[in-house]
Amino acid sequence: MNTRIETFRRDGDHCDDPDHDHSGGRCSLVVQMITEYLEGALPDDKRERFERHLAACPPCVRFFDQLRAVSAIAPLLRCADVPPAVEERVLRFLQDKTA
Amino acid sequence: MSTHGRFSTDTPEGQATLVAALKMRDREAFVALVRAYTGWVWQLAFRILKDEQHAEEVVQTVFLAAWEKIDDLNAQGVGLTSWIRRVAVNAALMRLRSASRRREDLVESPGDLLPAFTDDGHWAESVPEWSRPAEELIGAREVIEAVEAAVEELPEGERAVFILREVEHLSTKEVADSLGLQEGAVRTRLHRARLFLRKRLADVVDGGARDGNDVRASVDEGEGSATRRPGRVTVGEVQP
Repeated sequence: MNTRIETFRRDGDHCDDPDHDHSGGRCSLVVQMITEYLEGALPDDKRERFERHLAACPPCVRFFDQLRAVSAIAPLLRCADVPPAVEERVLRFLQDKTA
Repeated sequence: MSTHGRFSTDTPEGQATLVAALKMRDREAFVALVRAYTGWVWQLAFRILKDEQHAEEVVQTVFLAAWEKIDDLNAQGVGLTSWIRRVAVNAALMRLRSASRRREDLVESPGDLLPAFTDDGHWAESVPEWSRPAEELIGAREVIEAVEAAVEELPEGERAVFILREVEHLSTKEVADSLGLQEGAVRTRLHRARLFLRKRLADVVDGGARDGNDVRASVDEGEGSATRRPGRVTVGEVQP
């Protein structure tokens, strides 16, 4: 995870990206690229442009943080315990099927 | 995974020995395989299916396939664990598709998951700071329960990708291999899953009232109803 983003401003409602009129600086495109960024799939030029935009756009940083929170919670999702008799039932099933 | 009898699945060498024995139709090897992988396969299937009986049937399918098709393993150029995972995920997805989920429930198009923007690409509405900091949210029981419920609402494509990538911690490439997708398609599905779950999380954190970036809801109470009922909103099919 790129810790540089942790230092970006999160307060405020305005995008101050001076290149906003150019396609690479649009909030709408940056939002679509968040997962590509988090997965390390952006080429260097797009990654740098992405980070420049976040440095100037608190709303995008907040949205970015919220998507990251989803990922942080995911490993905590619980799973039911395996019923104790499953293994023996499966072995009996396979014994019958493969005899 | 573990050691059973004379077989170990903890190392690549141990797995190779096990596979060689399976190809010789060694019953002891087969039992070792079942004992080593049943719990893992069951939990993987359960995460996707949320049904104990169906998860057990996936386990049966996986090991029956292992007995009948183990000769295909090396030809596919993947290891034993990856091969079992692929068979398990495919079996789970096939079962999910044949379940009672109605097509008409899947009403949201991919675009509906994106927040609203103005024509020049600015946010149409504010992105509110959540009322609780992320570190507080992450361990909160109601938050975990909400995300678990929301994961169940995801279409099978997004659900499988999300579980494999975010819960099972596979790499993007491993997820792609498991599901027979391109890596770009995996990232597309993962992004859609994250967008949907973020919206659900916002509903829990702030009641959704301040979140202007709404995901359009479908409600099962007939057309025109304005009542929003968490647990009934679903997202559309994936366009890889």
